[in-house]
Amino acid sequence: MTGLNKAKIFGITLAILGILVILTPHLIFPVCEYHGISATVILPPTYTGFVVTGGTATMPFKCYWMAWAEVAVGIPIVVSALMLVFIRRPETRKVLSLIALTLGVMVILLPTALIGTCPEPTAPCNTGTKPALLALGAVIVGISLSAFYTAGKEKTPYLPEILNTSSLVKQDIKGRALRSTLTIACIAVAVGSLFASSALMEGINHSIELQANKLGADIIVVPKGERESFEHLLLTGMLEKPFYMDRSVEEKLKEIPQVEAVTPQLYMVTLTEASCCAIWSVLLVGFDVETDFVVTPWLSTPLRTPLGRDDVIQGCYLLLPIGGETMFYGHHFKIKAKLEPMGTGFDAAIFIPMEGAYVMAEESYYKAEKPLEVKRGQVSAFFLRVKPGRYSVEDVATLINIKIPAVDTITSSNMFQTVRTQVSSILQTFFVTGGLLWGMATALSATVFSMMINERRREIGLLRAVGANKNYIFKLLVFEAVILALIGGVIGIVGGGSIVYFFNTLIIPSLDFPYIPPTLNSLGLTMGLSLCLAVATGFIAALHPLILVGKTDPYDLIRRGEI
Amino acid sequence: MIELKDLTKIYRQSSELSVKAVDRVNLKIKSGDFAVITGRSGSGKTTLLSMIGGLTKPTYGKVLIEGIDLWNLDDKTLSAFRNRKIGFVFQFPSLIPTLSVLENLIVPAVFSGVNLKTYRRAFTLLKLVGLAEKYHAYPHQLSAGQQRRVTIARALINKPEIVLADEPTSDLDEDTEREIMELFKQINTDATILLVTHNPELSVYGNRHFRMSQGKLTEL
Ligand SMILES: Nc1ncnc2c1ncn2[C@@H]1O[C@H](COP(=O)(O)OP(=O)(O)OP(=O)(O)O)[C@@H](O)[C@H]1O
Ligand SMILES: [Mg+2]
Repeated sequence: MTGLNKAKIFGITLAILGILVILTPHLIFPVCEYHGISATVILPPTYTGFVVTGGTATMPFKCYWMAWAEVAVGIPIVVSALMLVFIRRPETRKVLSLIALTLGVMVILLPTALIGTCPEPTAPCNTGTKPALLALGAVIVGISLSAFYTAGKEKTPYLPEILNTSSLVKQDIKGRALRSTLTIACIAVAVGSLFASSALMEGINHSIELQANKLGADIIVVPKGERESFEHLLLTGMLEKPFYMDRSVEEKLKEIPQVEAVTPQLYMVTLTEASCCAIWSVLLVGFDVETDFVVTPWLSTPLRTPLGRDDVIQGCYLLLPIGGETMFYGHHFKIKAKLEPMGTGFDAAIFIPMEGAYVMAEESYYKAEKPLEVKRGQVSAFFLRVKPGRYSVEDVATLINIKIPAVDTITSSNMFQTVRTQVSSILQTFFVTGGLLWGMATALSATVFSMMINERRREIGLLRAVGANKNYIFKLLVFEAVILALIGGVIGIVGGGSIVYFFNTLIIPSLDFPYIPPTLNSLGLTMGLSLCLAVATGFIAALHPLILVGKTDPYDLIRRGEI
Repeated sequence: MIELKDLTKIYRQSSELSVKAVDRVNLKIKSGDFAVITGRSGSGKTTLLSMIGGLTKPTYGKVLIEGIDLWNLDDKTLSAFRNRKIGFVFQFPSLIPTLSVLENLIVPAVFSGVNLKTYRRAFTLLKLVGLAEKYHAYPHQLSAGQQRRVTIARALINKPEIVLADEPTSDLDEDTEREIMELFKQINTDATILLVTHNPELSVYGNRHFRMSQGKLTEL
């Protein structure tokens, strides 16, 4: 293998690693702040992952800045790696390898010496992100070193590569810098905006879907007028004003033949002022262990023994040691298990068996500074599953409203109505803009391709004259367009990814929406589709020259180039 | 052997006006011939040459090379034929601007396979046309005459049996013109040559002399 080919392999590998550096702290091993509802979750004081809400102040933490700094390092890695692929001069490649080397060292230093991560050793930035980045950095350093040495060993100052399609294409891309840059830029903008809007759209849909499904309930029944309180609770984990109804409603609900299952929940909150008893302010959810189908499916590991009266389960944001003890309103509880992230306000809640909750409430009159107002036999909400069959969920909800006037019903289709319309109108604008941009980019790159047509016509005619058949020319044109499109597409995806990131960190929290980023799989799919779109754009841009070559005699191609 | 039968090219310039650029040309040229074709501007010389070279499709008539009907071949075979058997020197500068002299020279070989021998041959040819030191230069760094010589070298890279040269010495001074014509005589030892020129004096270099006038070809 020649030094140049080695350099290409090094360059491509480095580019991939650079992209991984960009993606790792955001998508692959997201740092703490990425789980969505960070801005409103109240975390134990020891947990300095992303935010600590002390009163009203919200401030990002180290791993957040570290994640951004890695993006700033990752982008130049990708750029210099791509240059390594395209540049022939060994001297330049030596310099580029050194740059990549330095950047690789930065990748390592950022989470260790320069910025650091959260102090909490079990935080995701310490268990996933940091080791991954260290490994990536080490590999980047290694490869850049090898690239540096191979470039150093090349002695032949100039021996033309054996010409083949790809080097002809490369010459052409380099030789027509303006056209290449314009085309790449157009495609990058179009792909970027489309990628961003569809990734966001996917994220939102994914979140809404999860949101609706994660409760496992078709209908949620709350006391009349408490719809919004409940939605707020589900979104933020904060209970502004407790709401209760009598548990006897359960019997009436069970009488409805279409109802398959009913389980009650009870919402309470610890008081920050009650410092003697509670460690921090946290949502307490009483649930019925017997009938529950909402909480237990989220257990991170199945329970080995059934839950006792004073055994509690903690949401994913809470970091109490399993098996440890905690105290609410003067009552001691044992932490028995932990839940997977749900992406709702319940992620920062403690789940207590109903009986334990009632006992705690009763004891609070003499054990706590401020007693709980809830009485035995009161609950806050019922979760219902509807039997599949003739009646739709909406029908059943209406039936409940008629039969039990004292309650409100929430179904997945009417949940978060306001947020949904808000978000979808933003996204529509995004998507339409993306589509328009794509149309423009296609038109523009096609124009740019055609603008150069005289020169190309002549060159193509010449290639035809010296023996290139139509097939070869087609391949050449398509290959070139596709390479430009792919470069544009990759840049677009990185740019679009930044838009998504910006949207996630800045806009979504202000919408008060429990956003869960799309899964890597679906994100990969969107990326793939975006690249396909880029390639399609390349094809369309190359169409005019293609048709021309197909129907014109070689000599006419050359002659028309004369003008 | 090249044989032309009723070879005709009609260009439709507008709906009512059409030009008979080449008008029923019949011709036989043996292997090893050096044919010089002269004629006034617009008489159809380039069109004739380019139909023989497989670059312009005749309106009707036939081009037979070694008995093969050129315009009956499919695109792939015709392209390969152009590549292996024919070297074309164009009337106007025809180097690819983004490629160096050496790379330009190699281009035809790309379609038949490049190896180390190709590079050796390229350097030999560059020496032959007196441009060995300029191998790394780009076309815009060469004079018109130098560019023309590179084009001639390129036409020879695949050792063609037929060399079609369209005004290879136009816009060159007399000394260079003579040098290039001597070069063609040298080339003629291995290849059949059809050379177009508007300068009748150059006919002395060939063994056959034709004249083209308004699309008709006559041997002098
Ligand atoms: N693509 C074309 N479309 C229409 N007419 C053409 C085309 N190519 C050539 N012609 C016409 O055909 C005639 C012959 O042109 P050709 O280029 O063969 O002449 P020539 O003998 O090579 O002239 P010169 O010595 O100036 O190069 C001219 O009248 C020209 O206008
Ligand atoms: Mg001519």
